[in-house]
Amino acid sequence: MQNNHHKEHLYKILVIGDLGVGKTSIIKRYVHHNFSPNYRATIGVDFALKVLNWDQETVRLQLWDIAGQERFGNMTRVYYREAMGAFIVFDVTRPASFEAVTKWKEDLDSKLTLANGKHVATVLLANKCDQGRDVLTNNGIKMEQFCQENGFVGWYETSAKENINIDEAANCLVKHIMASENDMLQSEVPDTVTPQLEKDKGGTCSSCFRSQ
Amino acid sequence: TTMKKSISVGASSPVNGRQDWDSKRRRKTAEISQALSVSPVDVAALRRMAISEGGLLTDEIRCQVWPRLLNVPPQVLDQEPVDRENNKDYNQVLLDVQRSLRRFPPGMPDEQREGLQEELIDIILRVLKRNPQLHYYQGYHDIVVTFLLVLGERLATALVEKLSTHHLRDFMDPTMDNTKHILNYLMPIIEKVNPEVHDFMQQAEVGTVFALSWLITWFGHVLSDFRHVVRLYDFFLACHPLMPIYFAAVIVLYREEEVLECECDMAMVHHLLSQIPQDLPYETLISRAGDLFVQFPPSELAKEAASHESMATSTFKDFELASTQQRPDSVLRRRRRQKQSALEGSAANSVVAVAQPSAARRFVRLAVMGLTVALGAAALAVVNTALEWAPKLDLFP
Repeated sequence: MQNNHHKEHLYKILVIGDLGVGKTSIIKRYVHHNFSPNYRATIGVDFALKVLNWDQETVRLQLWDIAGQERFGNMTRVYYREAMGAFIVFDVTRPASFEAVTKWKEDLDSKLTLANGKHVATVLLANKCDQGRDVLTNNGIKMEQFCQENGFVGWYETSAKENINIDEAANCLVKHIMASENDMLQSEVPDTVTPQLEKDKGGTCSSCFRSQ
Repeated sequence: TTMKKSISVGASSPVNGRQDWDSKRRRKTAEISQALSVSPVDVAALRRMAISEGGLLTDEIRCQVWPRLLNVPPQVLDQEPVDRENNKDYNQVLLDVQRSLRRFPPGMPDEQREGLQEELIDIILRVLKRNPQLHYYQGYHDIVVTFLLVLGERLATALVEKLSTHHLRDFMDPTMDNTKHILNYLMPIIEKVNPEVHDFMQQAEVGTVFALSWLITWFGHVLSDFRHVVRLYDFFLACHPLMPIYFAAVIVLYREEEVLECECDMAMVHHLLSQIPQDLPYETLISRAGDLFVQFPPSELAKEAASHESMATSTFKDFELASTQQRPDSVLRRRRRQKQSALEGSAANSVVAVAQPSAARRFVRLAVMGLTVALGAAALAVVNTALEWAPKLDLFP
């Protein structure tokens, strides 16, 4: 497995957050490149597949769209299994959905740890940024600090509607997933050389930093 | 008599088929009017009509028959106004109703649709307010919108309230534990009919969450053609509350080849199964679901369903109890008679009273298996359900 060429990766990614924050819209935008204001509420879980060419490698992303209503929790948690990364989404126009972010993160971390005992890479998405950014500005929240304190590897203001920052956020997450995968391989086989993490892909990633 | 007619589905030319269907339709319409006009209304006949080929045919007929199937009086009182501001469910209901655009007819003017969406919110909040033991779930709005579009606000409120305290009761608990348990019936049904599909799904560890929205919305959430939705509602309103899970099993079984060709992987199988085909042969599948219900009634599956996941037996007892509320009137009458005779007679007499139903059930089952895909065979399921429950006299006060 020393040869990196034509290597395939399969990563399972969870998309979670309160109901109506735009989880389904983000996935549809990312996978199918379109947007509709008429997406129905997700009941249970949905699933979509996205294939990326990442340097010389193929990355297959399984995106699991998890229903936002709390009562589905004990049915949908089984789908957390074997996930390598997550997006936690909130709606910038609804402060309550941001307040729920820490709850989602704690729940995720309590249900899911990697083989090396670390938490999975998680990116925070401030969605519907085309409709204003009240939550971000009014409360004077320092997002970088919030992310560091709560263990997010990065955050993005996104709009599924206007296609803002969706690809960037996904690239950031994939980069961190790969890094943690290498991290785990390294701890198993101490001789393996660690690839450079900052081999940048897909433009700048200013708000994207390491979790350590 | 309806049974005999619907069994004779002969091959005929498209033109003849058309004429055939037109005359069948006329006959059925007349039979429904007849059942509605007698006093007391012949609910058992209406149930058969709702199940058999074509269901209740038109929304006009549904307005008259659906209330009868749920034993809701046709005269409904005026509804009290709704206080939205002080309602704990309002925000969530609003978010879901705003996202229910696809449930309205495509050509409907925005203004009319928006008016209906307001009514939809009011119905939901009103029922929840009056029944604090009920908890809103995402998908409930998909059920309510179907009733609203067919019946209008006032009747819809009454029927939804009845349905929520009966058929949908388990989905409206504080947690989804009972719903999870009901989903556990799916795999045992599939196993009885096609062990290969069952084993494949088990191996893929696909679970049953793909069928969650089917069950708790009675397929309203996933079928895009409103005619198909109301046809299924005819069927489910006339049947045992577990019938939607039999119908879910029938859909999986119908797609047997696709399933077995799928990569045996949780994600792939979940994805395949949760994308419901829109061109399903509904009448055939309804009939099959009825057949399966007769051959493998819930009581026979209960043990296997429970073994899929541990759960309190009391939960299931409650569910059985809830189910007894939905028996056809004739059964309730028969049960009362049986109870009477059990009380009056000696111990030997009551043994006979209890033994009779199971003998009759075997007879019914043989008859159904001989019918294969006879449209309308599912009507027998109702009769059989009744027999199935009959020995449990103590459940009925």
